[in-house]
Amino acid sequence: MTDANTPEAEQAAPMSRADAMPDALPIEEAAGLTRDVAENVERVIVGHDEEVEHVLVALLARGHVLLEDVPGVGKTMLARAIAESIEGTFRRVQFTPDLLPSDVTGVNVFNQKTREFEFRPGPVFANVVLGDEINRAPPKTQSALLEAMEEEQVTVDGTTHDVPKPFTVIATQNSVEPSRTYELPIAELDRFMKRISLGYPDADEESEILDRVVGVHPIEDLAAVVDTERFQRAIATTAAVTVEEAVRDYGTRLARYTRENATLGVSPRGTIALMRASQARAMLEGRDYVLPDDVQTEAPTVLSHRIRLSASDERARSTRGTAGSGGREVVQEALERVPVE
Amino acid sequence: MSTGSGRTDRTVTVEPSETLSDLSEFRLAALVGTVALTLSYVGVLANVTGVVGGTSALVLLVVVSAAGGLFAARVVGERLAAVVGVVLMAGGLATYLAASPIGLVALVTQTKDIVADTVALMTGLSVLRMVEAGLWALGFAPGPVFLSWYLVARRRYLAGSLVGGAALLFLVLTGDATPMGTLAGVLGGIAAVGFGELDRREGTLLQADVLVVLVALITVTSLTLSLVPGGAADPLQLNEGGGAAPSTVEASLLNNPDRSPIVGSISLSPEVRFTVTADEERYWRVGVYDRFTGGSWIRTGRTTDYGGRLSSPPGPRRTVVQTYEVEGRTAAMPAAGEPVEVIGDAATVTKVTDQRNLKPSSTFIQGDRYRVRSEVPDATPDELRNAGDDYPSDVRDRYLQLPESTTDRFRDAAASVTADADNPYDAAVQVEEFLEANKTYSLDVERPRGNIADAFLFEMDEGYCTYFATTMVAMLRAEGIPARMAVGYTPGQQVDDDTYVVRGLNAHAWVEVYFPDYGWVKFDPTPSAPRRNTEVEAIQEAREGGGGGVDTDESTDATLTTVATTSGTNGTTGNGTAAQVTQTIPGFGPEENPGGDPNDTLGNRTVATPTDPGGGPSSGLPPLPSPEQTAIGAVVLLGAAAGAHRTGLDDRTYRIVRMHWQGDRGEPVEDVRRAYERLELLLAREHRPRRPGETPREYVDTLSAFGIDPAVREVAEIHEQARYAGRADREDADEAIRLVDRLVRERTPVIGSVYRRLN
Repeated sequence: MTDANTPEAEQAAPMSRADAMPDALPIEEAAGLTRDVAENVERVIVGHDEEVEHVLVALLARGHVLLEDVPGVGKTMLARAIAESIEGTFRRVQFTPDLLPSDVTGVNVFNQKTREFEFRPGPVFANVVLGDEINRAPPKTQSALLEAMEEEQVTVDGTTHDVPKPFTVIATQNSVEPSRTYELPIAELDRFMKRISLGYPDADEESEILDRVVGVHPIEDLAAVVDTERFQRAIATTAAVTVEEAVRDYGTRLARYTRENATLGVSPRGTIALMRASQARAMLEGRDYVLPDDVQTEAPTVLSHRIRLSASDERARSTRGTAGSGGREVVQEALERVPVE
Repeated sequence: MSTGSGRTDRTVTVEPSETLSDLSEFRLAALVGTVALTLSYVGVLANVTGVVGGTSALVLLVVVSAAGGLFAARVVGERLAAVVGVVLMAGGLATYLAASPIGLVALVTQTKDIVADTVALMTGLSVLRMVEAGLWALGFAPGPVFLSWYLVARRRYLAGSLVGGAALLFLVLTGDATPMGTLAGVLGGIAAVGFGELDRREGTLLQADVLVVLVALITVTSLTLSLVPGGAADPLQLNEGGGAAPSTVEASLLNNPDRSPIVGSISLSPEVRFTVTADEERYWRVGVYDRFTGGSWIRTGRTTDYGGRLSSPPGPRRTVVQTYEVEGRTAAMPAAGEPVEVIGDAATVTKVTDQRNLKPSSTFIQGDRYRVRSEVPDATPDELRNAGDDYPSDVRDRYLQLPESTTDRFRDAAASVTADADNPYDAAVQVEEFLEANKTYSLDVERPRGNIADAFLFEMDEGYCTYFATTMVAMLRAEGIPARMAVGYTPGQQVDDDTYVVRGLNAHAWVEVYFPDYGWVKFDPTPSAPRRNTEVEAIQEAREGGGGGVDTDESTDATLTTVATTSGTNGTTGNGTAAQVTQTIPGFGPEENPGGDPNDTLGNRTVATPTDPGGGPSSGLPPLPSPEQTAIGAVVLLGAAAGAHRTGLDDRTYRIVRMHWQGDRGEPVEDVRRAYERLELLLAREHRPRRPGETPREYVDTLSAFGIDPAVREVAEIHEQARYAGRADREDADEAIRLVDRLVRERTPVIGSVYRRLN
């Protein structure tokens, strides 16, 4: 992982990512660039600096984000602002019960002139894809998106099409109207690097939002601060951040703790995600090595949604927090109890 | 604890077989504890059988009972096992009663007596004082052994230990259990219960530390504190015999009326005890002992009220009437052997032992007076030579007893000394002469370990009357001649024709040998001249010292004359063979040295030091610790270690050492890591330890709020680079070590202030 940009590591990488990783930027430059993006996004998104960072971390670590939120708190705006900032494309898919997989991936259309089938890409072909209310679509459609997330490619009628790079999916789940929804199974939740929620802004933030939005919405004149090509190099820099044995071991022990203290703990995929996110976090701070501190910062958003508790445990733990927060409690416990070495 | 566990116990026993490898450490430890407890009371019983015989039978019985208990645990229910245990105990008691003089009938007719006997046993009557002590021991053993092993096999450790503990307690109450043995038994019981509970509740080894501390505390406390008033003054004395040893001949012989331990160095008390008016001079006998344990003498049987004139002993007799005037408080009631009648009021307070000795039921005080009529044997040596060896069975049973510690070499020696004798009388004379000729009289002896008779015969060159008499009795018994040890007073200072002043220093031990149709005849193997010299010297010294009670009105001016028999003669017949040695010394004659050759060692006689506890032979080397001391030391060390673990002292010590010691330099990364570890130990002591989930960076950041040395942050940063980026060179490592060394040194008491001043 640490040397993913070297030729040997490239060959060992999965074929789907066979396209050459661009040269890594120096760490300071990459960090500065990311900060610029963050600042740019924060011009539009008020009061969610942390969440913006989380989304950027996911983007840098080539992961995807599940936003669990009430409607109307700026999810779309966040996704769009990020896309704009890196000069990337942005597409939004509103998942509905009648949405078909091809509505996500695109279809082959017969061209009368050329008398050939022509691939018309779906909304998934964008740098930032917002899958809104993903739990409203039937599982088959959900899985079309999830395949794209995992493979960074889409297969339609036997032909494989790569999605653009960088590629990140920000999916939202509507948790307030649980009826007529298809809740994501844990196996699919696992594919999201992070689960975060924006939550309501406080009074000051809300009045600032109104202040900004009345008149011309700032998103309209949001300019890119970096091109996708350079952002790709920042992603390469992230992949090159050192993860020493001590940190890897710490991550493993955290995962093991969750497995020992919950019905379903963190999967190896979760551990890998944690390490990648920690790399991005270190890079964000301009450090070319991961500290346990980075792991601790990332663990709650990266690990919580991968944990399932028995109904009684969930009840017992949820009394301390909000309902359904059992996974977060377990992670918090792990962070307190698993010794840092 | 024991109740409510029946269900689990039953399931345990269903397991077909438990091999050694299945045993948990705790079960093993609990079993070892039970073994210790069992050994503690079986050991006491073995001491009894060691004296009267039957040890091998006892061992067999115990092994069979324990095996029976273990086997029964698998096949029999608890109720049945309890019945078996009770039957075993009752059977043992019945066997004992059937063989004892009282008889089995007594169980029905004399229940009161049996209860009284049990009470007597439980209030300090030694088991060894019972006539059938061996049989009693064999009867006592199987019940508790069977039951305790049955219960322990069923994992009912508490109940098992209670059964074993009750058996031990009984023997403690009889006074037979030694302090060390009792301690071992109690510790074994505690260990069995404690480890047993850990076994049943599947505790961890670290939870055993409290138990270990407890055991060590009990050991140390019981050995160093004595709360029993007037009890042993020196509880840590680990010598055989234990307790404070009497320091005078008189005390050693006469103070404990039923049991007479043989002690080491002793001195002589010059105080006057009695004034005796008698037709002829005799040894004024106080007590007779029949059972020899190897280390002490015991009087078996019961003491009854004096109920009028006693039967006359067999054979030709002379009557000697003695009047005793008590000059000092005493519980002794001397009388020439054999007393047949107490004349006057004193008869009402007189008791008689099985061996026809008189005892006052209350203490005599100064001015008390009593008259005794004794019948002394009046047989010639020739008559005694022809007395034969047709001993009555009760004499054979009681007066031929030898402890099992009697060695073959001792028997061989006894045989060779008496080789020329063709009758018991000659054999006795030969033993008497042999001892007088070969051993020297001295009060300054170190009490040997083990069998006194054997040690005196083979390893010692000198001793006093107790040693001579003990050895002679043992030799005669080895030759099949009934003999016993008598204690009392020599005639004392003759102040008038028929008046004798008897002092404490006249206390003496001698031998009585039984001859069919003639009864008990006195022999005295102690060399008389040196003994008398010693006595005379002691009186003179006491007079010079001005101590009171040394003299009566008559004795001050009278010549200091005592009478004794010379070597090779017994004073029993009094028909001219006894040559009188009279030593005359003026009342005050400091310039005169007693004639002859008083032993050099006599200079030490007033130094009434008991033998050195645990001391070996007086060589130049310091004595090696005895096994007991080593064992106690080990227990104490173990307890200290467990206590240290309990209190976390071991951790703390480890941390301090780790903090100061960097160790050898190695890879830079490792060195930095080690330096940081030391830093954390230092910070932990000064502020607080790093919490498990706290990263080094958070830790240092938090502590910064309290103000820390900038060097701390510097080291933390070097460490971070080394640990999490894998970057550290020699320079970094040395810098980190240097900084930590400085920080540690500055914070070391004393050195720190000096160090800070220098820099």
